[in-house]
Amino acid sequence: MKRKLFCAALALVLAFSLAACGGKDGGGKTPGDANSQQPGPSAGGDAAYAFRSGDAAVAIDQDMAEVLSALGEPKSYFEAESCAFEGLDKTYTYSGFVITTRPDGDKDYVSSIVLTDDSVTTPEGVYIGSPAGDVTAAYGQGDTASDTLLGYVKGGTALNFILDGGKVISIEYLAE
Amino acid sequence: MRKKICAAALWCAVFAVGFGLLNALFIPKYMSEIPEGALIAEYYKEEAGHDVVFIGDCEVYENFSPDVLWREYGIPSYIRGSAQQLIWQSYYLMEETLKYETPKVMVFNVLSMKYGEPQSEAYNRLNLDGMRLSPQKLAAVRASMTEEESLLSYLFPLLRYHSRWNELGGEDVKYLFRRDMVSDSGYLMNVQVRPAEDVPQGRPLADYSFDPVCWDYLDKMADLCQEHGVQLVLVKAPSLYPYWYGQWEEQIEDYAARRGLEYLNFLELTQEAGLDFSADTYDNGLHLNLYGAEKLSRWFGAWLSEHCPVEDRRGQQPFEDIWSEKSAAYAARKARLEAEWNAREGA
Repeated sequence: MKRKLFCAALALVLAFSLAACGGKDGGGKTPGDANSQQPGPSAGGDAAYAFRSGDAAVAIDQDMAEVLSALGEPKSYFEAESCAFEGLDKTYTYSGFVITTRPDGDKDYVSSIVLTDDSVTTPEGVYIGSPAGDVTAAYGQGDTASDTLLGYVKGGTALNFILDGGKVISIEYLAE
Repeated sequence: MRKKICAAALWCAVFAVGFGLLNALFIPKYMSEIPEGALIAEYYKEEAGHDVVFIGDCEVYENFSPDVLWREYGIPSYIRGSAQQLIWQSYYLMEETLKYETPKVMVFNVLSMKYGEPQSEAYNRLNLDGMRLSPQKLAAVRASMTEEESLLSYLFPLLRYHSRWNELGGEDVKYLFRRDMVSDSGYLMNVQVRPAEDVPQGRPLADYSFDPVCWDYLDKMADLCQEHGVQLVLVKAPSLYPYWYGQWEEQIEDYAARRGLEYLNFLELTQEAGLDFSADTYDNGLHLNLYGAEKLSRWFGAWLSEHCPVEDRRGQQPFEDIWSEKSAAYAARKARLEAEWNAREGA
């Protein structure tokens, strides 16, 4: 009798816990990968904003291995371990721009491209030091607009122009 | 009738025990992997109070050594830190800590002011699963949950972790009812050496203002400490990355001055503390290694002794016995980790 009772209780407990599979948690396993994100490589698609360096196009969510083979070795490289979880956030510094990546599985994907000086421009011709008017002439009024930011979104990529005193001081491509 | 009631009660008891056992079995143990997940729960094993309690993210549990504070200044301290601890989590941990003890000083690391919203479930779990069930835990969970999470899964972790059934291992059985200590009074020791090189500068931001919700919680911390007669000290640990902007620094300095709080930015005190980022960091400047943490604690211990109402408790019971044991465990861990690191480097 006792054994039957125990088995019945155990079955109920299991049924109760498994019922949660359909819940909001989605039945994920140990939350051991803080870096994993839903969008896959090239989530932005063809229409997304992309940066060009010479003949090479660099886009958000692009496999960094492809970027490295196109651009070659960076001037400097920095890696930061994620707190607690495995995986490295990597920073590749090239002349005029910086690329950061996020790990996902065995690969690293581009998570940001930041233009740092006027030796490079966006494909639309805007560079560090351009007046805000040149930005709106090239890209339109912007999805986000303030005294310090003109932001545009296309194909899952955000293109932000950081302004100071009416001039561009930083240009960044980020995942939307 | 009585027999039926007894049967029902027995049924409930069996259910509760079974459910409890399954919860204990399925919840990750954080022993051999991701020890950061075990930090929060270790506090409940403490036997005596502390004069100084640190609260915050990895910049506290990796950068300060309570053992040095005790051995060199007689200050009993504890670090209630966890990975990417958000400011509302810090606040509720502070509130919870004050249920157990009233330290003389609470030290809060301000890096988390940069996060105005919940970041990820993975970090939430590391910070919240280990908290004892309390109104503070419930409030912390509510403030922290991302869209996909549910309060119920924090109350009954089995609802979250049942899908671990195919990754359960010997560790889940071994640590079903107990855990080893992964920290020394909340300090997570690391003796490795990886010099800081080519640390990137922060990219310019469109807006350097901290989120209003962060200011609210910082205010609540200051108020809470004031109500309990605890001195709140704000610090920014000397981590070189993530980048700490000058605009952020100004806001914290202004706030500290307005609230009459002490604020120490250790990024500006690295020379005084004797820190050498070619030798005192284990991950390129993000966190200090043991040697850096000991140097920083030596400097901070002197500062605490001079500026805060702490006394030298060496020789006082029960502190002397408790910390004698803690120091022995700290020294043993240090020797073991150094031997492992030297063997790895020599190999």
